[in-house]
Amino acid sequence: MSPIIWIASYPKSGNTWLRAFLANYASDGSQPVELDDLGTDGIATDRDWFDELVGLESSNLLDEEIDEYRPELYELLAESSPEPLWIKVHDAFGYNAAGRALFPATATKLALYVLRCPLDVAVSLRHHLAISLDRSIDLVVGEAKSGARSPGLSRQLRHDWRSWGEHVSSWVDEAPFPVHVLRYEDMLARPLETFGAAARAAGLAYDPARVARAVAHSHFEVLAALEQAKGFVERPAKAEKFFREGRSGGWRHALSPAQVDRIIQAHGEPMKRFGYAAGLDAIGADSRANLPG
Amino acid sequence: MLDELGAEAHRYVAYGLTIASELECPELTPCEDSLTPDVWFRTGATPRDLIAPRVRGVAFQATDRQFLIDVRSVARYLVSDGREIVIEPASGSDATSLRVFLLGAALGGLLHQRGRLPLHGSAIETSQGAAIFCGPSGFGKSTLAALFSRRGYRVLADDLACIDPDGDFPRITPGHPNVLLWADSLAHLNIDASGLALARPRLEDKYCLPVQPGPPRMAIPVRAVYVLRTTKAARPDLISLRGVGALRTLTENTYCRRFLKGMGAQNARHFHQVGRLRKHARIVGIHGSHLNWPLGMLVELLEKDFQT
Repeated sequence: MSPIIWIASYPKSGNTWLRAFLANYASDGSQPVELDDLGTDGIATDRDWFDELVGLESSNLLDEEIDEYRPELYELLAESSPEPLWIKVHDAFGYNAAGRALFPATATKLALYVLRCPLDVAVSLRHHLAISLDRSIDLVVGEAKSGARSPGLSRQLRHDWRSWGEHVSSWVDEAPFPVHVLRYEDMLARPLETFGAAARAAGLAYDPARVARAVAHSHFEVLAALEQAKGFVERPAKAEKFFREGRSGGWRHALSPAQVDRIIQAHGEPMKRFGYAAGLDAIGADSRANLPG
Repeated sequence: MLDELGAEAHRYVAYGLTIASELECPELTPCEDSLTPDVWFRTGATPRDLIAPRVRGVAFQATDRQFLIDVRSVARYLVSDGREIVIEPASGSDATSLRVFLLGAALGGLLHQRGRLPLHGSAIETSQGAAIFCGPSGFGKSTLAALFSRRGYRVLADDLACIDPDGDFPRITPGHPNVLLWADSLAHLNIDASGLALARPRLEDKYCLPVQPGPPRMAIPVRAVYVLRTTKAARPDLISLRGVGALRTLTENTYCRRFLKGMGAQNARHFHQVGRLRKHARIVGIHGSHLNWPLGMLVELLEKDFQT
């Protein structure tokens, strides 16, 4: 049995970038890996996987019925794979109605958990989903549910993000297996150290020169150019680009003080915990006062 | 004992089979004749596990002669020898949900046991014979069936299109006259959902659209199998599939193909069945972003292709 390595994050937090690094690290080719060949083994909420391995059409099942099968689905996936499986997941870590962890420890080696400042996440998410900033903030603070039912069948199963703060603590504090945390901002500022540490944590043979090559091949500009040339299957139809800006701090030009305040009110504590309070000196005193500690 | 369900058994015809059922199945066409039943649906106890299954998924197990399908909150179904389905309802399950999986996965497994070739597809009758639309869930098989039904074509199947691959020509026999559609498809087709029943209680946005039934025992030659594929093309396009690609596509679109691996002889026979189908029917890929198509354009393209 080869356990699963979950590549977990709230959406728009650097999951694809990490997967691009891992794909380039694995292939160590002279050219960057194509976007459609990122080579990780799929997304946890892939409908076809479910239908194939569970043996039922998920389109005939209620969401809670699907969740009941998910732990065993992942166990069967792990059992049937001779090689380690790298699986992307955007769900918050959680449990089904029977009390079983959706992502069972029995099938898991570890999770690589990527997080990003929720202020930047909100801005990125609005472009990705082509929704208003306020609607995006509703999602980030948990006042709107993700995967709000569309009136048709999505290619993926329902996945529940919960709020940004709940998502972070669900993986970092609740998951009953090792979780290696990396911040998007550190991937930007200190890529060799940050990506290298992730590779080591995942049990890959560590080679600093190889890390450097993979970092270069998964640089934002490289990914954006690949998308420009050939498209990217993960870009939603309504989004202009998947790889839009690739920087941190863009929220300063996009969010009003009231919008910043909404997010800090909801997530001040985890923001402080993960080092996002220090960058907020440009905002008003009221908002700073809402930060705990 | 297998032959006796008593005078109160309900009788239906579907896929050319006479079915005697303990459960009332309003989705099925009632049987008007008095032929001996081919298949029995009964309620009763089922085992938790089969003995020495050849293949096992999370919710199913298969041997040469039996399938066991466990839909936990609904029922467990024991499908045996292509003749009998025993249903053990879960506590609190509803009759509609029981029938969704009875007439889907369980019946699909039974048709495999009877040596037939069930495809994951809808089917309509054209002037040239049957056209089948296959593809993954949500790609538009039922939408196309409903669309052509509104244009006067007879719908032969929705979701489970069963082919009798033997004889001089592969033929399809009608399933049951209902099409299950999501709300966005209904909107796309300008059909009002408010008068329609849900496919299952609490399964929001999935509805059951009755369609006109045809002669239930008619066997119609299969002329073309269309396979829905999402590609980057914005306009629909039809591409002939040949050779190994066509065989692989038909295998991928076989209903409950995951059960086949447990079936030994039928698994081997399946390979020849898809080969025969490929020999006699055109296999055509429909390329284009599903549900973003201008439907009129696709209809025109397909109606022209039906005449080929």
